[in-house]
Amino acid sequence: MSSGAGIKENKFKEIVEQVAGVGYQRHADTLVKHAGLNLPDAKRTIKQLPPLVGEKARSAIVISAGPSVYKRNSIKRIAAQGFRGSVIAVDGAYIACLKAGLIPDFVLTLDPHPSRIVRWFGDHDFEKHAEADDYFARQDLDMAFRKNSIEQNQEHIKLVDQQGHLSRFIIASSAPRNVVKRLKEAKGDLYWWNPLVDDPKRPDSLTKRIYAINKLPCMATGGTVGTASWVFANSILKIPRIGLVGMDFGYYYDTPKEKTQTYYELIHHLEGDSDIDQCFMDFEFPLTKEKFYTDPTYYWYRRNFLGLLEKKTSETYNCTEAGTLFSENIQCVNLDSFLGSMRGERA
Amino acid sequence: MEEDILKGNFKVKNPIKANDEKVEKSSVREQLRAKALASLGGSMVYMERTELTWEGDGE
Repeated sequence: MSSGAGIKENKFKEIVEQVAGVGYQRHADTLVKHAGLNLPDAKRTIKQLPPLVGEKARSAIVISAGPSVYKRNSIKRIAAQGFRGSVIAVDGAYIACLKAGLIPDFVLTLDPHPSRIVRWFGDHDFEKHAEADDYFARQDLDMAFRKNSIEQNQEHIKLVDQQGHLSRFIIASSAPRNVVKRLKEAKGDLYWWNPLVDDPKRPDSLTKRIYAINKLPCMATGGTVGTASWVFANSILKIPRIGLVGMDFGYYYDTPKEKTQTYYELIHHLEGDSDIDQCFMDFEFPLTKEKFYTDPTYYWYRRNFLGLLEKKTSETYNCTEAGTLFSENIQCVNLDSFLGSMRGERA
Repeated sequence: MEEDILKGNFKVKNPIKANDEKVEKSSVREQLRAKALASLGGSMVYMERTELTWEGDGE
């Protein structure tokens, strides 16, 4: 490694270390507040889900919302191959699943953001929430969300209203009230949980504070709903074979840096863009040798996921076909191979 | 005495608070940097090395 590359890596890791845990105080009050507001609705927990039977109990696909889901046509391929295991989608991939004719068995939602998350389910306050927020313009999953159009949002409202009753929504106590209201309106079947955000054995534990409000079972999240979805499949549903798609934890190499999700925050943090290149790290995906890059936030999410993966009880395969998620603990396989092997077991 | 040497021969109408302003500006800057850094952690709190699940202490 050249000294220039070394300096860059050191700066990158320095920011990652700062990211870890820095939001604790900022978000703690929101999580406690939302848990209190959601208490009257949190009637059923994830422990009360009916047991899975047959192929639904034997394998699962977790559909996260990374850019590869769109670029690799992962959802359409899962639908086309008639996958019969459990389909677990994150909120950001839900509409894309419905549009592809794939109805998820479970949809997870976690993020407490007051105006953004509700859009994944069709937002009645779309115009108000879209003002001065380019978050969705920086999403790679679906052009429908990037265009931010009123017509698309109306279509999403209609889709969720028509098909919301067909999925079970695995909703965290941290969810904002507008998401709860929207899912109830769509006649969604809600099952509640708490995010396990720190060590509950600590006397000042935030997890313990939240648990004291609602007594809901807690699941680790790694900071992201995709990781929480894997924890749900592994530890709550106890499904022995799990495939992951859309779990990129990074960006395609041709993605402009200013289109990455924390670009503006990095610029603010650095007080300018002269050192911005130090905030990104390159990866080569082992199956294809294709290059990707990641930012400190996604690197941190990736590290959290790999840490949690050490406690896995399932066989977990990364079928993303892209991104930065690889290590000795997780095998990367082609999505068609995974789906084919599940069919083979059935035959 | 030093105080006498530095004393001017006229009184300014408004008190000068140059140093305070500097401190204030730098504190705003630090706050903005900290805010940006906090946003990098996403919208969810997560402290590392937790178990996968937890269901209370059995109370």
